[in-house]
Amino acid sequence: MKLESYVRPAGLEEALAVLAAPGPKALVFAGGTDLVPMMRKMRMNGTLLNGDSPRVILDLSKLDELCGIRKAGGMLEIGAATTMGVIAADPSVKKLVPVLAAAAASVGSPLVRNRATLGGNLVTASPSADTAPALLAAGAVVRLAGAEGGPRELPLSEFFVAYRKTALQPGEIVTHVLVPLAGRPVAGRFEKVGLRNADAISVVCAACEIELEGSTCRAARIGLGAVAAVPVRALAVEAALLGREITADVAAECARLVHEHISPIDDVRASAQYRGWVAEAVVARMITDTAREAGA
Amino acid sequence: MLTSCTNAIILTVNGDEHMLVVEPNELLINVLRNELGLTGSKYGCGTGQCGACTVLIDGEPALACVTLAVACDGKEIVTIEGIARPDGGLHPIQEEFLGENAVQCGFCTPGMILMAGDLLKRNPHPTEPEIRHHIKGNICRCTGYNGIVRAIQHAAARMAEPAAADGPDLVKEAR
Amino acid sequence: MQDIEIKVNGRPMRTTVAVDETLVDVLRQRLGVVEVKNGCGQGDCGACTVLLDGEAVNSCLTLAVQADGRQVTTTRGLGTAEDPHPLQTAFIEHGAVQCGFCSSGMILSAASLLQQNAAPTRDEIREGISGNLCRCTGYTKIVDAIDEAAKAGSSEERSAR
Repeated sequence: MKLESYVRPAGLEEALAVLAAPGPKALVFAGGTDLVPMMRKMRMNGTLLNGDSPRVILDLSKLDELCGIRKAGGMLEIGAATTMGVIAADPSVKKLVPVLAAAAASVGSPLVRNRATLGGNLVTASPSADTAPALLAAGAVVRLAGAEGGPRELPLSEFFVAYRKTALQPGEIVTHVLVPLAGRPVAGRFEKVGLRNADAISVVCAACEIELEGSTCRAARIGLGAVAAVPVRALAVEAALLGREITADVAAECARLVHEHISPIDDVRASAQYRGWVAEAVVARMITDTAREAGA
Repeated sequence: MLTSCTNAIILTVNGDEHMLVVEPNELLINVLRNELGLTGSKYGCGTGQCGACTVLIDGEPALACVTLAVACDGKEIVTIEGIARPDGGLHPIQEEFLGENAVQCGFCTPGMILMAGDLLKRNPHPTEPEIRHHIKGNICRCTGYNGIVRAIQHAAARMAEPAAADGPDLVKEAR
Repeated sequence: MQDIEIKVNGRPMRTTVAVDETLVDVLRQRLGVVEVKNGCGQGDCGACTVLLDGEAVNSCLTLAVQADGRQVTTTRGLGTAEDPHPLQTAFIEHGAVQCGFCSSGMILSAASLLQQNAAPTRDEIREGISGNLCRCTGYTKIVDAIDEAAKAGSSEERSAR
């Protein structure tokens, strides 16, 4: 099976119609930074990683409806085909969701960021997708659309269902990522540990947002990547922080609970043991730094 | 534009026979990489100056970037993917490259290792100048070559031991 | 197969491509634009950098069909041997080119950086070329060259005002 045709739809409706059409399956394509190397392998064995054999490339990268960033309904609404470069440089993302700006700026290199999209980073559902922990920490929601019925929204934490599997139904795509604006800006941190600065696949990536009342933690959200089959929230750490006055000792104590949520693996980049150590250390440091920023 | 004239050829690559239809001006390196997915051989300069595309054709080292695929019809090709032991373990030369940190970015490594294998087949006890002479068509921009030379010396010593029947000979592999 | 037309350094070029062919392969193999290098083929090394409608991208991660009707600029489009771009001159003067495999992409990433930030710091220069690997120079001379070209460019701008 080979990819035989290339479609650049004029609008979202046409895109969804192509996906819903009977017959050869379409490959949803945007930045291509993950898909093009996979397509090269597909040339040899006829299938993609997930076993699909699509015949049509459906290029969403230039769809106006999916590109750009705006405020709407108390949310910061980011089109799924917005590139990492645009997100990293966007003034409202930098001001209101700095964890996301930092995560987007850590993806690939300037060259990759000019093409890689936010939707693509989430839809590939790689455990090490750098924007995922940032968006988990920011309490983000994804908006999905298909040809049938209206769009639906899902908390990002429910979007990743298993290793490289998402809650997308056949014929559905991610159209937007929404970040609630209430209470923003919130103090936050994003950290990525990789083997080099640019073009690194994360050994561990993590983000947190903390809201303080006086010096007491009123809310905390922590997201982690590359330490489990999917990007995860460190809920036990978050719960342990609530109502506490955050010091370096408290942060270190709570960060130990991170192991309840992670199941790292050995691979070419790092051992499982190292990933565990790094995850705990990074979470402790992020909590301390974020609380200091929130208190200041 | 290219002409639409195409040719059917048979290549035996690392022991597997492939029937392929290629354009007359298609290079062996592109067929190996793009059609067969054997991306171990690298496309470097494209003009036969860097050695990154080195493969063995009927046991002889050749530059796949200046070799037409049609000219290889019926021939046996060995790439870096084909020199591991039958059980999947590394070839002694590969092991020694790792041991001596003779690999950095890795772009020259497949070609370098195939040339080293060719040298040791012809000359099991090479001197250092002989090693340097034999790999002089293979450019490395990372290591400064010292680690590579040491790795080949160690591999020579290991493969010369009588017990080294475990080290598959690159040419034997090609048969 | 699909017919496409790409404007390469201002010159329209037509060819027919498979829909899954990458831009770097089409530039090099079908259009003879060999100053664009094919390094890793997966977006890690930057040797294949081109400007697509002015934006620096990895042409090994771009489909040729996506470039249909768009402008591709390579290092030859920036300047020629007779009339080099200030970045090209600076690379030569600083010895920022050794084997040359990265130079084409490096210069295009630098040009893209200077377009967005005419007076970058040395750290910003390093960040700007962080997607372009060089295994020869150790980068110092490359950063020197970009630094000098930036300074020369911004002083030109000043005197033009």
